[in-house]
Amino acid sequence: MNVKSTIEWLVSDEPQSARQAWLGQLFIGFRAFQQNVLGMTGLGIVLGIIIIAALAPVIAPYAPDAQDLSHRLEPSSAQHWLGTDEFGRDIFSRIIYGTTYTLQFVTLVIVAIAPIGLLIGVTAAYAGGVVDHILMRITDIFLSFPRLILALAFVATLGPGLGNAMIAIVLTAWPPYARVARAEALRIRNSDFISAAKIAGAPPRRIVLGHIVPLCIPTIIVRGSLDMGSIILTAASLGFLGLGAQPPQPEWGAMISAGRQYFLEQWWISTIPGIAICIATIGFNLLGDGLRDVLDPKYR
Amino acid sequence: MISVRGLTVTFTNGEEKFVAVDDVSFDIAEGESFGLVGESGSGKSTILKAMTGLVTSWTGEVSINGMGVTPNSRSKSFCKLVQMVFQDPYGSLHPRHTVHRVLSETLAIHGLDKSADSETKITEVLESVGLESAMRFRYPHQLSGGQRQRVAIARAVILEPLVLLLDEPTSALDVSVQAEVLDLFEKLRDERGLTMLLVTHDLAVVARMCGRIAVMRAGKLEEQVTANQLRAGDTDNAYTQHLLVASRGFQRSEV
Repeated sequence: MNVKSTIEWLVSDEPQSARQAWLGQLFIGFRAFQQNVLGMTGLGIVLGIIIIAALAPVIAPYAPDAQDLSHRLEPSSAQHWLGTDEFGRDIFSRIIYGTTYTLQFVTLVIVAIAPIGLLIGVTAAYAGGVVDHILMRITDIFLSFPRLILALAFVATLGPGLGNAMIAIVLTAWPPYARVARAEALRIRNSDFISAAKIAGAPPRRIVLGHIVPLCIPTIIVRGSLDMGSIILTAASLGFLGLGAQPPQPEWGAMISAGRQYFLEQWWISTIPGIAICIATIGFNLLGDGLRDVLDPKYR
Repeated sequence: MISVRGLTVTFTNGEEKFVAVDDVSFDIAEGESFGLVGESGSGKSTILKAMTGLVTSWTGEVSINGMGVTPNSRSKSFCKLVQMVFQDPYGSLHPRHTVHRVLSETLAIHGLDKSADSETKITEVLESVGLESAMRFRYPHQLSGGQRQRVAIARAVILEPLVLLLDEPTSALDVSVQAEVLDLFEKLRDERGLTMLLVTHDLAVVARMCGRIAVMRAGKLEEQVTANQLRAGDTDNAYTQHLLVASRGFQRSEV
């Protein structure tokens, strides 16, 4: 099948199967997203980071923890494109390996919090009454903790490390998702099509999972991709404070922290990972903005 | 077929109580089309919601096809017996479900999707409501208002109910489409022997569709008349007269 007939098949007015109809909608959504220059830039950056992370051992000229003490604190050169740090490790290689930590961190956190928040919010909205009150008060309790402070307290208790930092962020990051999903579900719950499903005899589980959740997912996706930027920052902050990734892991926040004492003479050791964090955060934020323009009907 | 005795629906909001339907009784015979008319807020839609269990704060006795209905219990067999068509075809279809999904899910709920004839059932019901098979995998936003209402009707009749509750099924539609949809209801009624309860504020629609008509006002049943009486204006009830005058629209002589 060539490109032209594939596109015709996708945008057909008379799809022949459920799969074709679904793919067609996806394609039309993607075409709308393509119009959004900033969104596409964000998508480009995020895809770039994913590719770099996947190919890190191939791209990076040195191992991330290979020390070369005779070449420490060197500025940019042909051997070390972005210079070396206080142990003579190649900063370019460390930045590249750092993408895997950042990506893993963000992905695992989002994969954990989005479903938790979605299910709690939708359940609260659909069940209503006492269940709603209990679930939402629990959400409020978690919401009342400042994210970084609770993460600090948590990591201080359980001991530093990426895993604990992740648990800490998961604990503090899910409540906004529950709030958003509940608000969305409350609006949907009273729609005629939900009444129709009830009259058809659909059990609550089918209504929640098959009818309400699919309509909440776009909002959650938008919220999630906008949140990824701030999760990267939180992870980097914990790394910077020495509570996240531990040496010699090439995590960007920890790298900034390590370069602090050389900052006046060897500015690149801290600056380069800072730029990396900045680009990654902007990439995810732009992607989130673009997705919001396409998925959120309020912005159409 | 349908018997409603002393139906009273009360909505409470904190201390406030509001009686939306006040001691309403009526009977509908099998195969009959019965109309409920009245102005907005007279409680006519609330009666349908109480009968289908969407509103549970009611008292009274309702029985459909000999099956007693209580506010909180609706069995699967009751759902197969009574189906409803809503007023707004834009709101009554899930925006992300194709026509096919709407129909096959209704079958799936009743465990009918595995049977070999579920495929024929879907094609048959689409044909009987006048939708081409090309519409089958479309989403609601790719359909017109009239087509959407046909999908909603298909969803209601695919379970082969005996009773169809219609909540202003044509008032959101264009006049020419209204006539088509009313034709469709008449056709389905004749083919399937459906008992219909039609709620509307449009006297022309009830006069065409229904044999007997009940007039509601502020939650109370004002009177019951036949369609012929209504057409002839043969009623002593002042409120019904008032509605009839209003339905003729603006007339200079009466100003």
